[in-house]
Amino acid sequence: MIDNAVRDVFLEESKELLDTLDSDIVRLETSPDQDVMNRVFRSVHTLKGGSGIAGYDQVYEFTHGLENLLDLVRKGETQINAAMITLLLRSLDWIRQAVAAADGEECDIAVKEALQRDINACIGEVSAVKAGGTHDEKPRIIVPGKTDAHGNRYYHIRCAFNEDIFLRGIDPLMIMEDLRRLGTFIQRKINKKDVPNFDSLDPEKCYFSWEVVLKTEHTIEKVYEVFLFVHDDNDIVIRDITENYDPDSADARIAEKRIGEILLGKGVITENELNDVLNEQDQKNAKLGDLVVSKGYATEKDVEHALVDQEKIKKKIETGTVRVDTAKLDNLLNLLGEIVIGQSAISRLADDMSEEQSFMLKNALYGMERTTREFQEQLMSIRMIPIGPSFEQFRRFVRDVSHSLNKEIYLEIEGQDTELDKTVIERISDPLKHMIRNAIDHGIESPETRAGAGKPKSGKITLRAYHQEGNVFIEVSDDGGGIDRKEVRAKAEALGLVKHGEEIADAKLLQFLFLPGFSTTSQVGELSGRGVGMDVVKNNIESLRGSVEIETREKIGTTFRVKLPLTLAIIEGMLIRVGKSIFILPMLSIVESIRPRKEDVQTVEKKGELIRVRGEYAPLVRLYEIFGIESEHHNPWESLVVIVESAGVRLGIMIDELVGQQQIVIKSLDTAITNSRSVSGAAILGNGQVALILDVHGLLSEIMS
Amino acid sequence: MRYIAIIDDSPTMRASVMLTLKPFGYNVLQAQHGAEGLDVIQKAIAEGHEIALAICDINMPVLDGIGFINEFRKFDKFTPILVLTTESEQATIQKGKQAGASGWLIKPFKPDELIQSVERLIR
Repeated sequence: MIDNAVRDVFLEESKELLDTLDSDIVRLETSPDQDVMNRVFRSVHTLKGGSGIAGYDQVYEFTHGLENLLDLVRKGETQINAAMITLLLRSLDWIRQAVAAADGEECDIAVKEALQRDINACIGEVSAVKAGGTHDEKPRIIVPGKTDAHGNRYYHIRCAFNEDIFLRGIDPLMIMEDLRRLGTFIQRKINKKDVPNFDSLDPEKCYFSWEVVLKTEHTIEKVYEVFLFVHDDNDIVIRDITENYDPDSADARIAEKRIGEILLGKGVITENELNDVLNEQDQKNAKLGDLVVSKGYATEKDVEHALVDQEKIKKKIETGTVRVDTAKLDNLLNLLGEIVIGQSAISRLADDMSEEQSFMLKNALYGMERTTREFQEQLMSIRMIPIGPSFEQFRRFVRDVSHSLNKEIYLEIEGQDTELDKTVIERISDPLKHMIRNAIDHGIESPETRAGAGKPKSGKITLRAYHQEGNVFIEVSDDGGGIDRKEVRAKAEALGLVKHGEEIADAKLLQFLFLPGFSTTSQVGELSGRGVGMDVVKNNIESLRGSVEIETREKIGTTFRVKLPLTLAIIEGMLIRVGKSIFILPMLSIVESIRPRKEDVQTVEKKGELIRVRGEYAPLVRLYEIFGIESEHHNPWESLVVIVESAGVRLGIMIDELVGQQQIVIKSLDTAITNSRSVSGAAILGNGQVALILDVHGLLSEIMS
Repeated sequence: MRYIAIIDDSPTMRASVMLTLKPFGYNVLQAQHGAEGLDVIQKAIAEGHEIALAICDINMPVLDGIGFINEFRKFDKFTPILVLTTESEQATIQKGKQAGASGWLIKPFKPDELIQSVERLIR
């Protein structure tokens, strides 16, 4: 895919370059101008680079020769003449053809070779005069060094970096890290003798040098590669010392120690006994297992078991990892989606068969569906990473912010092993930060207030993650004073969101806090409390198809609970039908579906059609009007209405039929296809039909505007 | 945000660098020559972004690679710079290093060679 995109860009670029070259070369014929000459050279140079990258190998090779010739002209080592101009122009023509010949197979090799001969002849003439000016590449002979019995090599590496290495943007520690990745350091020495006294120390200079012994499977070439950018102007010495190293005994020793540790861990021997045996082993050079048995600390069986365990541990360590491009995973998921589609197509065919055949086919399909589902879960799990590292970054943040507010707050983290989709983790970070900032600023009281309320002076914020019912929950809790419902109520009344004396559910009242411009703090804090933010937090969470709720208890604290789907690639969707078209509504946003009575539908000026559901009015949407399609029903009281909710606002959607619930693999749509906010993507159904996935949030905001 | 800047007068080269790095999660800024590169980078820094690495061609119009490195190092001493060069320009590697380039990559390169060089310089 990348290759194609690069090819397309190159096609464009080469066209431009060739056109400029055409006119420049013609210009050279009449007036040899150094600037034009340089430009010609640069264009060919760029053409060469581009063709190489875009995979036009023939063009690359050809332009290489052309570039050599032009280089000589540019340096004034040969004069340009009419014959050469013709040759250059014919060369351009060939390049043009070769690039146009799509896959490069059909380009005219005979013409190319003839041109190349001519170009070489031109170069040859000059070179003959100059006599051997080109540099030959030295042949490199690679002799892989010997290894020990386990395929390991040992290198002694001394790296004394230049003092000024940082100024070249290179961090020596990174090089050391790269080195360590090749194997293990079995010896390591950091030389600090060049570090000057503090007053003459320049923090921009590197004073350390390193000396290590690296045990690795790789050849010395590979080790040199680590130093690729630095080895010619820094003092790097690499010696292969595999021969004079005696790895077997050392390795055996490490293994023996582990046996001891395993026995210790199992409680078979005590620490004193282990030390005793290890000491003795140093003198006698015997196997630890034998010693333990001979001393009567353990039975032979114990040692045997320990050996088995040791093998297991070794195997565990050897389990490799592979880094995979996430695009590949997405691709796999997409392909799996296609398989699911294929399955439901087969399942549909089964409906048309005789009962017996249909039963047998469907039975077979059930088994297959189970496997695909498991496959899907496994695939999803690859994209999952633990949230721990993302949580950890907030420690510093909490410390900094609380200090700036003269509060003492510590952050507690729970459930750091909870795994969720990498994309979700990346995108949840900002909303979390905002909620934490809010908790520090508004949630937790000042130390004085806390002391007065009999609480410990320092406050606590807890970040917690856990799995429940196929969702991930992330909580931000504080042990502060809680949210004052009266204040929220007062503010809501002031904004006209709720009437005086009207009953309102607690959860609903607290949801007001997420409305734009809603803030209860009388004092506007420096950090939060300008009423900007919580609505953004909620929007961000909803764009991840999640939701957020607040739980608060006076004097005890507040918890913001974020519910997120495990992944963004698949949703649980409800298929709905309008006329012949199928749409998908995310199950998450569906509240209920009803058949309204005639008197429940009203038209209000400036607000359009409204529908009354359980005493409340919600706007009514006719999908057939929005999408310009046919519908079976045109009166809401004759059709079904699905009530959906986003950000606490409800909406009624008029449909012809509820088709059924299904797991949907989302295919994103290019903005060129639609930039409608009402649609968040598409899916392919079992019968091959394409269904649009409705974005309730977008639908609402489109109606509101 | 952390950005990698690619400064090259060839759109093909820019596209290839960008498309190669993107799937690895790198955000990429583009510029056509040294002067534009400095512009784009300084603008990004002024907006609070961070430049993790600059990748630059040597042979460019307006301000060439060496000129770019010299100017860049005037306001940023430590950010790594990866120079794109060709076999015919081997001598420029030395010049680049003197100016403060961190590493180099010979064109044409394969995607994994680019990734390797980038990861050799930044984490």
